[in-house]
Amino acid sequence: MTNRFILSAILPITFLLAPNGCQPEYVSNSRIFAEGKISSSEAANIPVKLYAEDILISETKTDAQGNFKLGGPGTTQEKTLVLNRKIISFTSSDPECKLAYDSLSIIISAKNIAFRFPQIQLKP
Amino acid sequence: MRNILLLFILIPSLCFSQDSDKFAFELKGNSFTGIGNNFVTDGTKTFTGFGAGFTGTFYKNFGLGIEFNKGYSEVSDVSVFGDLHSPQLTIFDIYALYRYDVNQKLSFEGNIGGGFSQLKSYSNYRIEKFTEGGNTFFLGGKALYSVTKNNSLILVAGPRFYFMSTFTEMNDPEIQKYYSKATLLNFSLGLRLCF
Repeated sequence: MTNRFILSAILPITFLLAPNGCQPEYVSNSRIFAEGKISSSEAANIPVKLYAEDILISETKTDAQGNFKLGGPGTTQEKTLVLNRKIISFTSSDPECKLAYDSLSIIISAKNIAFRFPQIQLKP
Repeated sequence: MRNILLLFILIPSLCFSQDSDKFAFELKGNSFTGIGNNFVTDGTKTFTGFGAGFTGTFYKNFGLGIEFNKGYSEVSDVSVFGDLHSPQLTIFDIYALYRYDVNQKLSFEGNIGGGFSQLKSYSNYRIEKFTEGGNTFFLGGKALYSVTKNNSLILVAGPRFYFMSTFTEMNDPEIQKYYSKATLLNFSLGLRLCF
């Protein structure tokens, strides 16, 4: 009984303590770029951030027309384009890009390339 | 690669075949400023640093040189360069030179060469640095002014244009060009010690 208890308690802990191989890392000689346009009534000055989990790759703010452009170092794994506003819909140059569960960000595939989002519709 | 190795062998062998006043060691201060439309111009401030080199004049006023340059800067626009800091530029190159002597004190030198470059940036999130390697090609000129009577100590200053091309690849040709091709205007001021 105690054995089983130790196993059930310690085994998950050892998993947590083990070096995490799922952390994103920088990829030398690679860049990621994203540009897009927010089409809603108040599109100006919205902060746009690009993350690979805990790594902030790049950040900017939309201009008066709602356009934004950002670039930064390439990393491994998926990235998230965080707008912190509810996204109703968006169009993308890459079909693998999808909306996050909370609709506050767009999940971008692991590729380090240029992504375009010609239309991002935010909840008013 | 083999050509460069050959140059390495060639330079010293030519050096020791000559007798005097042909070889010089150079130490200098450097600045590199990005010009044109590229990520270095828009994303970083001017790089400042140092350089060290070795030159030899072999046939009349023609010669060869090898050089190591280093520059340190800061990120000026995060949205262009990314959330990185303290980018460092390292350039190692080999060049051909031609010297034109105006008079005993003053001469001008033209340089053409190429080599390797590396742009290394620090991150707030990882210990590992983000590096962008590449090739460079450069064109430049120098004014040389002899400080001492016997031409053993020479003041050297001049501009150079570095054309850097990093190995970064992207799916969009325009953005690839923006993030991989950078032109740098370099100014240097230094001393050349002849022996």
